[in-house]
Amino acid sequence: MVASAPANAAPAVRARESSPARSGEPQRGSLQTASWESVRELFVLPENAIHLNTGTIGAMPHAVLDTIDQVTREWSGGLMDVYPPGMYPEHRERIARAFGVDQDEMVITHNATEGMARVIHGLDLHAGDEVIATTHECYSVLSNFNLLRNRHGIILKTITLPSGYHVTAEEIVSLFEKAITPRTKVLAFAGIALFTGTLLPMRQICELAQRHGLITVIDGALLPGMLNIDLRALGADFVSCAGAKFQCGPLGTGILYVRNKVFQEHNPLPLPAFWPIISTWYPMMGSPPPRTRTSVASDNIGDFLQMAGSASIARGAALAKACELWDEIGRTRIEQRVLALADYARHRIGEAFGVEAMYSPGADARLRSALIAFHPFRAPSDAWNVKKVAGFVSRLESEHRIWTRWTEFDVPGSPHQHYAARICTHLFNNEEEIDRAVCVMRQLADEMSRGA
Amino acid sequence: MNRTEPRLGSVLRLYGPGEITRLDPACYHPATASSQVNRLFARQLFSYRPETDLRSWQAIAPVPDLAVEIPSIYNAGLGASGTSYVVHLRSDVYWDTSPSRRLVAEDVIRGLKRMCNPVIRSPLLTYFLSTVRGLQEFCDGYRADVRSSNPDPEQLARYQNSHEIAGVFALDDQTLVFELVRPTLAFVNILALPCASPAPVEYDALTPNSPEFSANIRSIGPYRPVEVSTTRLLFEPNLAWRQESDPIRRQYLDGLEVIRGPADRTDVADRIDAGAADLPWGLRVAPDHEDRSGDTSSGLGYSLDPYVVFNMVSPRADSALSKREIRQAIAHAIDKETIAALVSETGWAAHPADSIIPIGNDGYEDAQLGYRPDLAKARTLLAEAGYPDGLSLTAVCPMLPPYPQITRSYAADLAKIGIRVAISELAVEDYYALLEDPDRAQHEAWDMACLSWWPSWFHRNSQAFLQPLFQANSWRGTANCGQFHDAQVDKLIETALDTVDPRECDLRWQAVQQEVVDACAIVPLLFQTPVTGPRRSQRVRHAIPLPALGHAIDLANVRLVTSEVHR
Repeated sequence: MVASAPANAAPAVRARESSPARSGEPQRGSLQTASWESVRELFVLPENAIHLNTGTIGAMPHAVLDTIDQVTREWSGGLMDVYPPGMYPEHRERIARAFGVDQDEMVITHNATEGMARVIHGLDLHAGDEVIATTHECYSVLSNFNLLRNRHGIILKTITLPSGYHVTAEEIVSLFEKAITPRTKVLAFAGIALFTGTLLPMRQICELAQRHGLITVIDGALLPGMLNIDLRALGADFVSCAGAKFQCGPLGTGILYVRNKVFQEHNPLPLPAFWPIISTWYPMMGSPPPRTRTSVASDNIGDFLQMAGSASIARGAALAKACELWDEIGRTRIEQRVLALADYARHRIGEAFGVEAMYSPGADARLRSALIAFHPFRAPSDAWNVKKVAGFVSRLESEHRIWTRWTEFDVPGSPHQHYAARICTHLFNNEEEIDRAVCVMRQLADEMSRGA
Repeated sequence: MNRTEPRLGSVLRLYGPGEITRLDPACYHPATASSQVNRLFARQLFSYRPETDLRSWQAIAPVPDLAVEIPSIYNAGLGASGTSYVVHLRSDVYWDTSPSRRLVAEDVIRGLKRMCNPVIRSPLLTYFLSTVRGLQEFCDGYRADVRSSNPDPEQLARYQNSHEIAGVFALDDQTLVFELVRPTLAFVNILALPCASPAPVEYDALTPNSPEFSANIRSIGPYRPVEVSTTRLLFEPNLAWRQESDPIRRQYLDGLEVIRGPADRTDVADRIDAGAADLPWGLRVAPDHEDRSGDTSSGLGYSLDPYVVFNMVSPRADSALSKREIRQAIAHAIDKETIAALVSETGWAAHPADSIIPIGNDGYEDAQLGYRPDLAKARTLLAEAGYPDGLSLTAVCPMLPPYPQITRSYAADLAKIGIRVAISELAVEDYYALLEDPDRAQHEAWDMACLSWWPSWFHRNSQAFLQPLFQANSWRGTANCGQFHDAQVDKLIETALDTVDPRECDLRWQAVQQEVVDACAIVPLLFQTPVTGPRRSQRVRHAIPLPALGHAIDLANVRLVTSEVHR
């Protein structure tokens, strides 16, 4: 994956080697070179089913499941001090390394929504300050900003992203740029829009924000596990990710990156004022040290956010295990596999339904992700027929055991709310599954378009 | 058997001077007595359940009625932009047709189209026009297409069946999509208004709110009208209604009978106390005992009840009422404290009104926005406007207590500044027919009238007074009876409607209010809220007021204790 980083900056989405596979786990063998067929065996997947909905929930590896079980048993009913491990110092260290950052910048959350909420409500925003987001954000993002609007009187301005096969990165960046006003303080956007699957040009938008001195908040729910991403190199201030989607960790896990150091090549702006709400680590008197202006941390912001009473120790351990497994397979290798499968699926969907049916970008390779949203039916007006689109997805599941989902979103210039079918590819999928899914989807869509 | 346990049976009897002329949901008017029986035979996508404790949020929160659930982002019923709603209908609701026929999405759309009929509309239509995409165009086209003042039903049906509302469509028999022109946080409340009742195809053959309509009402509620005249209304149980398909109504009674008769509060109270009637019809009669069901601590918004509206287009007295100074002089002359004392026997608390948005409603300002009693200033204003010797005006009021008493009170106040007021008392139905017709405002003799307005809903409701009463429109059925048309006010209303942020929204509506107060478009007299339930006979149980329906008793849940259970 090639990111649009400046020449002197490390690419945000990296091409780097994974750490060596651990010894003592013969069932996984050398995962760096393992066939995808054998990698698939690592996952808990139902038989005779095609899982194309990792954007909602990933399939957990057996090793992750085992970790939950083992650590839960280890800590159940004991009299050990549960607070230190609830800070997850080693797990955060391991996870942080996987994403190119340090432990002090990493927090294990319960999900991307929690991370976003803690960021949004921790921002030092006041009445009249303006936040620019998109109508394609997850509801949890818009909901939390609306709460902030009602509480503090901030201004929330939303822009509607373009959709379709021919959308370009420049169009998207331009929309953000046009929306910025002297009152703007924050740009908040999804790394990958869950409704259309658009991979937003994160680095370019962050550079735009930096030029205007703005804070950047990325809903990165769909990023980890799909892309080999360097969170620091994105240039954002905050990135909140899911642990249970493409990273295939347990439900109830998330990854939050909070910029805690200033690296000129990534984001030269001073660290934004930030209040780590929900914390038992924050001092009961006095303040933490002033935030650093250099690449050396003046405090551990991650600890402030992480320590909030007792925590599920198994949860952090299992998420770390999932990340470790990814590192063993190789994150670059995974990204290439996932996106190659997505390109294949995009091609097959294009053949079956036409590229004009796509809500996801395709022509601009920079915007392609592993999520593909499209209109399956012949009649354009069926795009605002939620019942038909939902029925399509439901029948794929009940009649063909193909798991997808439908999404809903605004389309610029249309008075209608549009609905799309969405598929996701992941490392445990393969071309045969995609072929079968596209074939079934085409037949079902034809049948439903005929009104059957 | 528990001696106090109610049982099914017997006929509920209502008696009083209220009218029985406004049964068509398409022209539903919250101030008419007829509105109280709407709930017996008509249903909406959403409605309100009876809640004994009015302090509970559930007393004012819409619940699914014909819809399966309240649209939200969690059931894909509401898009993030707030402008797209998907509503799924219950599949087991039937009209009392022969044979009974299932309610379908097209019936809901037909109901919305009928609201736009040019014969007579609901004053609540204004909420829909500013919200539903394409409804304004549909409405304008309807009026342009059907120009006759007395069109036949075929003409009306032809327009309705050949034109669509762009933002309302059925995905299938059970699914509807509503597309809005702007995010409207109260949209579910708006759809809960009784004027948005579905209409069966049989209504295509009937002129809205005509005697033929009243004789051919089709019911989807627990009761059906079997006799409708100007003096008697009789309902019997609707056999096509199913309890399992209606989460908020019951069918406890063998029937309901409304008898209209000329009566004052004492007459009605005597009848109820003697057991000859069970509930009042068309006027408020307080019980003779403590009743906490309408406790003032409910905190719900008060009503603007009543107010004096000026006929802005009246040509009389050299178009005196088109002059702001004259209206302001009248406002300064009226003694609201005296009028407050007149309503002390109604079971409602009354406060002199200093603004238009009443106490407890969103946007209410605890400040003196109106015109303080000041006879000297009133006389000065009259003189400055060119009427140093006063003028003569005609005030109309319904023959319904306490309106005649209130009208006489303010007429006496105006006499003190030289305004001679001739009072014309009209039958209730004639009164509304006169006031709601903009054409008649220009040509017939009325200058001032006494009206009341209730909150159409109770949360996020700052628009619920200013929009229906002051946004320019000139359809028959309007709540803007005085034909107050002000481009600046309309512009401010549009701006307020565009505002979602609650605090900013209230400020915008307050700006509208200030503009209307400055123009002195009306004189707010009192704010009122119930402090007791209505008078009722010994056998009435479960008489619960519905705040969003003007605190009318939910007749669809009333039960009677029959003599049998006392044995």
